[in-house]
Amino acid sequence: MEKNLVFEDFKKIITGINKTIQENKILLCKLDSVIGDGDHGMTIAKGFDAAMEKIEKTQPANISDLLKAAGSAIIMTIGGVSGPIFGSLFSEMGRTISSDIESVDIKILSSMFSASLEKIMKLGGAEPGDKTMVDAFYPAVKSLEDSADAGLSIKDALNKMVEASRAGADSTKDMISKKGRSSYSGERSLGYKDAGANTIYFIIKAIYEELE
Amino acid sequence: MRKLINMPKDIVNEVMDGLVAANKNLLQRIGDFTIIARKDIPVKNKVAIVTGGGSGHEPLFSEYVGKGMADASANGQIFASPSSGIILEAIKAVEAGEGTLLIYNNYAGDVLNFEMAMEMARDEGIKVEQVIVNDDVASGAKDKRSNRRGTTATPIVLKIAGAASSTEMNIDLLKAVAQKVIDNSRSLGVSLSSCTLPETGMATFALEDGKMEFGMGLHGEAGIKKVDIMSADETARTILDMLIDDLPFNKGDEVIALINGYGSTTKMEMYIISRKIHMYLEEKGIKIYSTEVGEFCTSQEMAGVSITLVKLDEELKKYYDMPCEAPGFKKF
Repeated sequence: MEKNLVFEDFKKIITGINKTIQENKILLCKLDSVIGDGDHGMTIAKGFDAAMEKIEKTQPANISDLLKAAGSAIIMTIGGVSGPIFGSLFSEMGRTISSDIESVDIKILSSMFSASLEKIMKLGGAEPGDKTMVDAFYPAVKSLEDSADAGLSIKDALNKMVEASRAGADSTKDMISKKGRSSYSGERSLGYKDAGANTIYFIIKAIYEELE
Repeated sequence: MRKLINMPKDIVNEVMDGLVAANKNLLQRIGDFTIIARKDIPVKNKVAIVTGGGSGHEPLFSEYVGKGMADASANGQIFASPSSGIILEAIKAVEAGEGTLLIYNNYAGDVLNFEMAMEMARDEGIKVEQVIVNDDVASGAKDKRSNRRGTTATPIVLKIAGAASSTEMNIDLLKAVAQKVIDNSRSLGVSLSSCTLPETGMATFALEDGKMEFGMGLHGEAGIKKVDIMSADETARTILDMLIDDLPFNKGDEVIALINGYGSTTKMEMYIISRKIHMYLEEKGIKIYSTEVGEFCTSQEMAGVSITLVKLDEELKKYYDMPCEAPGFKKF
């Protein structure tokens, strides 16, 4: 993984994320049912089913189209907050690069994630500390930006991202939910991890493991 | 879990097929989408009304599709907003040239997806406006109504807006009428048990036997006050005090009183509540123009009731009294 990421790598990444999400959907529902409405795992799994189906059907031929296909399938197919947010995570990454980019180095990867984070925060209106997926995604993307500046390898950078997202997801335990449906539970949300933040940890971990 | 279902993944589709089969002359499905529409769409000389939200709250939303109510409902999976793609398809199906008003409940997912669909429809040249129902007094302070959830006022909003839309009213005036109903509506519920998600078989929250929780959400969101189970009269009075104080409803006001069962609460209990509502509002000098008793918005097999009061004026009364024919609401 000292080299740049190519189309096949991104295909492997999406397949790997799908596998991880499908395996953990019940766990994610359980997390969500304590302070949310208990549907997060099922919903997100349906979205990735649709993403895989769309990629199979439309056979995108470059990295940008692949990410956009996965993202738009998630947005159009699943509802809830998860559809627009988790779909935009991929489609915005795809939209940031042109379709003739065949190889992604750490600088490009970092800019793709940064654009995705910005889009998601704008859509959902969540800031770090609100007990949402942003609490895992924000530190992960910031860590990638730092790694890119420091000229780290993609492997080392992803490894740091996994740690940052895990710490971010864990930190939601100590937060009171301020956004989305779990915000209705107010102080009762203290002590429980946010399901969306945990999904971000699973996604980034899957990316790392798929490429390792 | 004690539910009569087939494959969990088929629930939403099978519910819609069954609803259409039972109402062949009124309703249809639009393609493979989780959309229920009036049989006679697009209806000419009328602003179309699209509602929708998560499934699992039947009769909400699809039973309020019909003549004099909504033109279509866009339905999500159990307790999850429909996707923007489905909402867009519903808007396109009902559009008859006069524009479309979206009426839906205030939940983060619904707002995100309905607003995305509204933008996409506008990009295609369709006039779309929206009103967001937020009648639940438990989920936000009085001065922060934008935080409040939409609950059981929705059938009344759809009834009145549906009637108004059939008078060839333009979209801006229709939006104002719908918004007036929302501004005049207040609801509060009490739960006596949890509900089970059919897809996972898991209860969404724990509520010990002998306890009740005021303000519990339709998806098990935490409420505002957990107490030992009260009598029906005391329960009704507690809810009414909060509703009356919130709008406020004043002596001389005329209201619709809607008593909604959440799923496993019996009509027997609902009528006992109805009795107390009538006695208590009379004491307060608030006149009940009409009473609706039944299931309007459920949360699976959750036990409990909600009460909605809607303050009426002459305009709202006129639309409320007009005929309508939807599976979940009929007036002749």
